[in-house]
Amino acid sequence: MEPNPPAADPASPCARCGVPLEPGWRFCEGCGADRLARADGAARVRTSESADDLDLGVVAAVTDRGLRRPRNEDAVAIGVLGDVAAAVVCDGVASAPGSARAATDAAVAGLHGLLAALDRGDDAVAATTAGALAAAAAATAVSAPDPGNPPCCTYVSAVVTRDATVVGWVGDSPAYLVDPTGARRLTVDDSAAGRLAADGAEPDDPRLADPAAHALERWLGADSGPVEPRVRVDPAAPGLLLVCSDGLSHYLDAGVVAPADHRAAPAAAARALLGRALAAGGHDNVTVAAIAVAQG
Amino acid sequence: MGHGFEITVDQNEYLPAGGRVMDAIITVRLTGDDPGSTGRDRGVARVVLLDCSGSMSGSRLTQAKRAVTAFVDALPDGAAFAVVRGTDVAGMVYPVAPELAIAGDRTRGEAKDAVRRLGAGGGTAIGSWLALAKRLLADHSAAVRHALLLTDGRDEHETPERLAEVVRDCEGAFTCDALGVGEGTWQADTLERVADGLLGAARGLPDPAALAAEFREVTERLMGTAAVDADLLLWTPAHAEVRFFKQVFPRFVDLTGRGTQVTPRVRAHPTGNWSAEAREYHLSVRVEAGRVGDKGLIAARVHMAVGDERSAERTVHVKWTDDQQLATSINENVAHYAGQSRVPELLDECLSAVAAGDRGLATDRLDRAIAVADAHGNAKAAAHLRNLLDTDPAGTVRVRDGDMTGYLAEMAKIESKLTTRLRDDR
Repeated sequence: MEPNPPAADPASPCARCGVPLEPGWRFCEGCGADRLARADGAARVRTSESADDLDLGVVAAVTDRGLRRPRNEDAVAIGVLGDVAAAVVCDGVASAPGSARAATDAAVAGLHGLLAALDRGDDAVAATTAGALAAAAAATAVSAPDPGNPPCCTYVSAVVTRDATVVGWVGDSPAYLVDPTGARRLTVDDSAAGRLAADGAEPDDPRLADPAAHALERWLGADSGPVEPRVRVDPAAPGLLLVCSDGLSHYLDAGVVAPADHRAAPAAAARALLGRALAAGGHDNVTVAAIAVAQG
Repeated sequence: MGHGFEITVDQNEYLPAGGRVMDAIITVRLTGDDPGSTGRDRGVARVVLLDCSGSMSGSRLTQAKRAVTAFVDALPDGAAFAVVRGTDVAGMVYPVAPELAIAGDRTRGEAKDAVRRLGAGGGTAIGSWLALAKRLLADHSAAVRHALLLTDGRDEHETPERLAEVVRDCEGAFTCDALGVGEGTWQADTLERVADGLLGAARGLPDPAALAAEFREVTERLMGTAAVDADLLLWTPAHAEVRFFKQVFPRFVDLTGRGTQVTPRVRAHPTGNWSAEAREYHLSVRVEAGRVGDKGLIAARVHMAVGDERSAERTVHVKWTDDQQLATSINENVAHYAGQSRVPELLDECLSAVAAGDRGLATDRLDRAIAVADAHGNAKAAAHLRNLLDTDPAGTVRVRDGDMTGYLAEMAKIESKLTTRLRDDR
């Protein structure tokens, strides 16, 4: 089972049993102690259930009703577990009553599911899937004011580890990596428009103007059927990882608002982006979470 | 690669203060776009080992010949194959020389002629059949090398030790399914020794007419093979001891101490060939005691390997807690298989009691085995166990007399080791 996955710490005796550890190995060959293991309760979590402005240092988020919508049906949850940071954004579908609750429950369950999987040692990809499945179950369980039109929401998660970024999504809430070259979209929306854009269609392409092209093809909710997230892994390169709702991405993709400064603190970047989205019209709820990637 | 192994670990990772034994159910799934595709040309070499001992004469041999004929007909052009007759020695039926033939119109016709001329006579020494199969298959280049062994009688012309030795010698050379056919004297233990060692299935077919369908099923499974010679690699820390490691689905197979030690910490367990399927394993590890609230341990790490390709690794965790509810709750999947493992044990106790002439005790054990099988949703095992019950003229239900059980008991032994899953998710 070589290679024993490397740990960052230099070689030293096992803190638990004293057996000399191979340099760079993660698990003690003597007793099985995991040098990367976190003690219970180490995860710190903030969610939009308790505040609209969340800050855990390496990860931060804001959510806002915007200027046109009667209420905020977005939700966001952020967390830190050891040296791993994660964020989940869910966008409730306004046309389905109860979707604000679905978004909140899905975001909270998704983040907890993701962190629990990381805590038990799953890799970030497996944890991303586990989080999305937990979110799907939570969204499905929300009671439906209109049984013919059950609550539903989108889902996007981001995990930043020491050496990789992993995003997972269902729907059209995107993730971006902001680095010195600008903002790069990491996700492909689950809609006809999303595929067109991924194939290189310009923002003013007439096909993108058709509202039908933006119809969601995958979502979380009782009427979604079994859902697996799409997952994307990139090596960690210095910058900011953003996940957001379309209240921001609409403007970002159109080039109407400038991307965040890749050197900014996550909280400052999230607030700046919210301000720009509102200044651009704030047509929809705006939610953005930012995670620092490979920044010392 | 269109397919890959996916491992999940199901466990209650919490132990009470001072607790040392950690149990986990490890599920291994072969997944992918179309893992069962027959389009993958992996090359299949197949040998049929047909019991031609004296007891096969009559309808058993007739049905067996019919099944082998259908098997030959179904061979795709270019497939390597041979048919072997087994008695107290093994001999070639087709081709004549001890080598594999290549399927084509001519060889299929010749093979069927040779099968048609087969007669029964002589004893039974299964080890000699396997030894010939090894000679035919061991150096063949086909990725899937498979033997199908069919017997109706007791392996009485060699010692069990000799058979065990031959099976060990054949490990890795080919995989082998073992079929007991007819209402004769075939032994579940013999079939299981062959199937467990050579990573195949053990089946009982009291009705020889079912043979042709069984041959077809085996062929379909082989054609759906999506991973060949897969190893399960199990890492445990030096201060830990594997109490047991066994396959628990689809069939109980004790793997404790089997496999090969590839490094001081890692044991490789061969798992043979996979189609799109899930298998489950129960691992029980004794670790050093730890303190409540410390960071906990890894009791084991598991991954699958095929050649140079490795699956993602999963780990079995241990943490200590003073939360009694957390520490004492038994993982439901662990409980499911621990419960079912009582079924073959209770059947063994029943059959020992029958042999000792204690029908009261035997009936009690059989009743319990049936109840446990029913409780775990294993209707098939329960039905085979019920076959061992008899109602006497006074209306009392008791286990059958020792002389009466015969192949029914052998069937029950095999079926009681076939398990049901807690969640049949695929």
